[in-house]
Amino acid sequence: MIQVDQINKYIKKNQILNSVSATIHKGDSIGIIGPNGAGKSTFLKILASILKPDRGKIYYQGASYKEKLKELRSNIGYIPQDIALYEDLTVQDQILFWQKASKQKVAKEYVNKVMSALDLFGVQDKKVKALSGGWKRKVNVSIGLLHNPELILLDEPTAGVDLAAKEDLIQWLKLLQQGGKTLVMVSHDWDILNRICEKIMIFQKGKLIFFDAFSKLEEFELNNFGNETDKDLGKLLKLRMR
Amino acid sequence: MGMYLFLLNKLIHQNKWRSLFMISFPFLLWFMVVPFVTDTLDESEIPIAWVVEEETNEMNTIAQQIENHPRIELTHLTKREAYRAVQTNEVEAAFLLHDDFLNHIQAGKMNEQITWVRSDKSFFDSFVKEKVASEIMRFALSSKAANDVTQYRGLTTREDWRKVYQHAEQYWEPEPLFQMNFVPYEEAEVLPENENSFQSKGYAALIGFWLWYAWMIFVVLLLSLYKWKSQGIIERLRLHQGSLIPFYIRFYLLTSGFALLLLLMICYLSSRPLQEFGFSYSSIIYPSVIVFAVILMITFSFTRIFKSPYLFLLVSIVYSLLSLFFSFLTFTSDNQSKWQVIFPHTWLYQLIF
Repeated sequence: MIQVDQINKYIKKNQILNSVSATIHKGDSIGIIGPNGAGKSTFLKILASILKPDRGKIYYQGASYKEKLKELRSNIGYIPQDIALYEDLTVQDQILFWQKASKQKVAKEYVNKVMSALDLFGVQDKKVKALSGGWKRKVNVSIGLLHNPELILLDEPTAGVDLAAKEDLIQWLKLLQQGGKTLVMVSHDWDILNRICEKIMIFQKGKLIFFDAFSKLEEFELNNFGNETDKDLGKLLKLRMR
Repeated sequence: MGMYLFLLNKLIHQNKWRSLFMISFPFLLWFMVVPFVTDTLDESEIPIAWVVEEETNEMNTIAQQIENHPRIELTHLTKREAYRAVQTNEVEAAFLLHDDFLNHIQAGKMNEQITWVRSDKSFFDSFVKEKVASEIMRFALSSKAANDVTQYRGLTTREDWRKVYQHAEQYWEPEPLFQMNFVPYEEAEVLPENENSFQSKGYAALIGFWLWYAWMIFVVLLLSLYKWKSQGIIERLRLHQGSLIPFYIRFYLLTSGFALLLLLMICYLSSRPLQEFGFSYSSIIYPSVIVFAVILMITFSFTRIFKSPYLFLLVSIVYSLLSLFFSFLTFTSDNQSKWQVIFPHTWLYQLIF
């Protein structure tokens, strides 16, 4: 579905991504993990076509991103880490606005399905600014999924979310995964990664140092971090054992 | 589409109090100022000293015709009194008609027949000068007609001359039979008719101010774009819609439509009480719309050039204020430099006048 070939990204002379290559197949569910500043979110934004790589190429269904940009964007559901919502609209108006703003036809039934799955009907008349962080996060996720995209890119979807809301999200993402959607998510939350993702990408200082099945992660850890050469990443991987 | 525009409009005017203030402020300001302005205009008369050596029917008629103007108050004084009244600012100016004035005019001798006395503080007297000149010219032309006809027919009595003179006078009532309106060829289509310069400049200042106000409203509305950008909403819209162009078009139409409508309303409202003084709504509305459309495009392009909202605000405010003040100063002094065409208010004044 997406092929990333030796991409590099610099922001203000700092190298954020260093020769990253990967292939994402249709139906994959991939978790991206790494210490802060490792380049995870930048990589996700490049996949979402928000940022362009400075070097290297990226392909969508065999053609370059530039050639397939319109098709790509209509098939992407990007959920940013920050709450990118109009705070002064009610949840219902918010969803209606994004539904109407979408280039694709958004089926009302599907919108209802998303709202129901994320339990948003109870707060539909409340303004977004009046909601708690967890509810805002759920509305944020729902907006990215309204047009029923094929490729779903999530940046820290469970940050600041309470357990009940997180459970709603996980259940909905599982359903999407089972429905054949491709999921790529950046997260520090091993719980959601364990339950949703089949593959893991590990970023360290802009390099993709591991991209394989979840089951291969233990072997990788033993080979590379037994001596604790990278403290931050070591700590992060140890959290998985809890 | 309709629902999208409705919600976008709701977002642009999410602060209802701010929007209410934007709309009501110029109206409140106008309603506070208009009684003062109209009262002043209603009550104001320009005091002028009128000095004649000989009191004849013709001289009285000329004085009466000048005095018929609602804004002119003639006071008959002696030469000495008139000079003192000008010095003490009791009158705006004095018009001294020289000895044997009537005979000279009747004989077609027009030069140096009146002395116009004014002080440094005289301002409105130039308007009276025009009126005096037109009445003298009227008298001169009617006299010339009477002279020529009596001479041609061999009529010699004063009574015959007066009859012919009265006949010639008919062609001036209610308006002169033949009038010319001198306008430069290039500007002929947009120049307003029959407005004296004093009234026009006052009105131009008002329209220039309203244009600046509507401009500032547009700037305030555009600040939403910076807020949404910092919240990641614009980026999200780009992904959601595939391109930001449709969003920008709709946003631009809604914000510029609001500012333009406000401008039209306040121009219309402020022109109403002044219509009796010769101000015309239609003569300013097309130039205002054209100039405002260009202003909107320039200001919108600022949002693409300046990434910081503070810089955008600063540049917009400084540029608009310079435009308002510099253009009006040069407009009133009739001394325009080429570089001043960078200010939109200059285009407005050029189009109106």
